[in-house]
Amino acid sequence: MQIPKKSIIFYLITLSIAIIITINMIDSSFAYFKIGSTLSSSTRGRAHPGLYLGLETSSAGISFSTAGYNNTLQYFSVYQANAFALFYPGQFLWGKTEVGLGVGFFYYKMGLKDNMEINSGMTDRGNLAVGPAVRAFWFFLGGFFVGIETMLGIREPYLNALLCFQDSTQAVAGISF
Amino acid sequence: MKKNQIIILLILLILLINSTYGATTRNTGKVGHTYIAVSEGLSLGSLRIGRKNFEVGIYPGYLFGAGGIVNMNNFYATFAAGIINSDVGIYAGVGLEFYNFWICNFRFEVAGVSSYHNYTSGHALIGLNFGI
Repeated sequence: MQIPKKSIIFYLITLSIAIIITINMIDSSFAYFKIGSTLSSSTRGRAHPGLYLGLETSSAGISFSTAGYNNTLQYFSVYQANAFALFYPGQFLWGKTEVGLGVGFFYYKMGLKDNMEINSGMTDRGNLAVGPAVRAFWFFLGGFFVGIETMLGIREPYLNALLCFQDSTQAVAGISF
Repeated sequence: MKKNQIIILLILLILLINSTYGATTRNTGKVGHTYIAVSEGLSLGSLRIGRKNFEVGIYPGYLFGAGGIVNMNNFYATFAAGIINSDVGIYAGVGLEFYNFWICNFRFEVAGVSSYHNYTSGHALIGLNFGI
């Protein structure tokens, strides 16, 4: 049985709202949420905004982001997840900063129509990369932040030694609460 | 991940951690500092001049801009803004200063750069920092 996409989205939204309400009902907050929008290097230069979600304590956190597009000729979806140990080095200009050191992975799937005809087939391909990840966020106004999160995918050792990585980088702007 | 990849990563990690100590050349320099670093394929990754926690110059991805550094022992966070590919962009990342000698030390930086029209990329840099 195939679950309709609308149902999955509905359940995810409901679950997110339930988690947010639950966390906010707890007297002493032990978790923080981040929600924001991304510009990802994985969309190959297209300025499509992506979704960014983060869940963290004061010393560690995880983040998940996704972006993609779909048109008559091609589609592209990228998913990235990172886990960080978090540090707070101090003020930059007037806002506090947050640094994360950790690991991450990203997965993308893309498809391109074989030719311009309506009924033509589509060639799909996907890839996965794992590697070290860093985060540097600047909180310019209260909980509002902007920054970069990047994951350097490990590939061939000799290329990595030449500082070549399969990176998945995203500029993130969002709010932490 | 292959076994040899893991071994190389562990060796790099141990070398970096063991050589980390003391104050940084950048912060102790009375006049200023210059940082020159290589990036992908050992091409020029960055060339910056600065004073203590302020820097200006060429950032990775050829972002011409200015930025600041927030210290965290020998680690640091770096933020910058400037012009990249005829567009406005930001740069942010995390670095490590290690192995002080004479008026120099090494800096290893992992960071990303992004512009308004999504000229976005991640970079690993290693370079030499001169501070006087």
